[in-house]
Amino acid sequence: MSATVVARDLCYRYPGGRGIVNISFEAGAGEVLCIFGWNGAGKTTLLRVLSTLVMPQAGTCHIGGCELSRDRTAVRRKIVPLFDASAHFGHLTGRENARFFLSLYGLPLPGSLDRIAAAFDLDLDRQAGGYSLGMKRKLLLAEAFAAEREVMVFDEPTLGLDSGMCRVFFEQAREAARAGACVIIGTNRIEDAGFADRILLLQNGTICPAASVEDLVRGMVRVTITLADRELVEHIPSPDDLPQLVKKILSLGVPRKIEIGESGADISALWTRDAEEKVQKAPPFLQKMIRSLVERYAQDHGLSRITPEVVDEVKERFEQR
Amino acid sequence: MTLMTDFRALAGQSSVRVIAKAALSLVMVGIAAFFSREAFVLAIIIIFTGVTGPAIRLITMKRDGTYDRILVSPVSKPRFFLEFAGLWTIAVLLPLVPATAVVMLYDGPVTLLAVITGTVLATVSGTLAGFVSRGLSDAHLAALALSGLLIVLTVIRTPAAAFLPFAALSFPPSDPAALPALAILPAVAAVLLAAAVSRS
Repeated sequence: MSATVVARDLCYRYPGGRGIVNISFEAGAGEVLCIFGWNGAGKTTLLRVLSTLVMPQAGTCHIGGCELSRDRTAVRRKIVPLFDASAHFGHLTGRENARFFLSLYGLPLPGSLDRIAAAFDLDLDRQAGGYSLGMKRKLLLAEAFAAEREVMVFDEPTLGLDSGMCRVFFEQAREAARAGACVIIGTNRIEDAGFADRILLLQNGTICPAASVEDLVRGMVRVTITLADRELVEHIPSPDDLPQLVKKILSLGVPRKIEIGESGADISALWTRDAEEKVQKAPPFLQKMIRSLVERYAQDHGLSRITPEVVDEVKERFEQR
Repeated sequence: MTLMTDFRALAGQSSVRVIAKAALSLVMVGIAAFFSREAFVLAIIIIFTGVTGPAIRLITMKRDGTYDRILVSPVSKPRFFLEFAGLWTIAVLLPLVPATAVVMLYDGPVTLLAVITGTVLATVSGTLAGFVSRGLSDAHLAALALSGLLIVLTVIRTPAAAFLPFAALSFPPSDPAALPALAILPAVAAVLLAAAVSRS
């Protein structure tokens, strides 16, 4: 397998200090590569560099044989990037949007667009402004696959898609890879990583040795979020990351129930009656989540009792984040 | 078909709004005609709509992500932005056709050239303002500064008036030989815009 993307010591730092440092990796034609990273790991920064949206401050990156900093236009002819946004003209139909964006790549509206849209169960003749977040995401994906570029770069492609549509996305990605494309997916969803040929773990702006799904799941907290129309299973490094996850999920709808995975040890006996009563004052759909968060906190801090003060402290930490 | 899609995507407005703008500008120019100020009012309308329209549109595109998608596509950026300004010139001129016809009745056919070149100057300036602005408040400031400058140059008779399409509306040149000079500033603005965006 020849390498289509060759990155060497890529660096990009934001003024605040965050970003990516000395990122080196290769991705080949016919490969689905997952760049896995939790929020703030530098995943989006790396994908923005690969997409030519920002120029690396150091290092080199060859895409399809062209060097990114030297020949940006040539690189842009070889890639189709998809960012974490639902970028469309709301007053145009899905088909008109596709016509506009594909024309930027010098492509007429390809026949494959209807086939891909049908696979995603997407009505192209409706105004894009009336699409739900999931439908906007499907339109972006359909446009990207219809563009048939050498390298496809997706940032959180399954955000807003239910599990069935996630599968459709990975089928399309696999089909594109079979046709010779190099598909790079940035995600923080463990379920997505399971579909990839190879996983690169991005932590604190640097690439860690090749990871497996089992490596990623180890030590993670499983969170099940029930929305009006679907149930989402996510993993987060610690309960402290729950507010960020909830914030992201809010764009899909207001959660009806949030359940945090069991911590393993039975620490329900630690609860004092006052603390129990305090939790019972919360809305019923939040009680289970609060209990899990507090128990996790008590376990992590080696507390022998869960008092109302502990509940208040967890509440305060949650609100601060 | 693609040009039509491009127009609707980048500068499109609903037919109701185009009709409303046409009616409003016609009424304003009609009232101003009673005070012999029809050309001046038309110049102000062109400056406001021509500068703010493309500037705000570009900012909206930056916010919803469509701008980034265009930026990372292989399309030539000078070509794209000049096309963008061109489409906005059409979008601004279209509702002003009745008002321009009224001004032409009073001030003669020289108005038409001044209106077209003035609109090009305004939309190219607005596109440049939208390109350099990071957010909506930046764009408002840039549009206000540019509009203010153009208005001042419209009302004050300066030596540069011969090159300013808006000044030509307020003070129509007596010498027809001076007319080609009106096209210089819009051309310079277009070259500046192309140079500014070429590194995107």
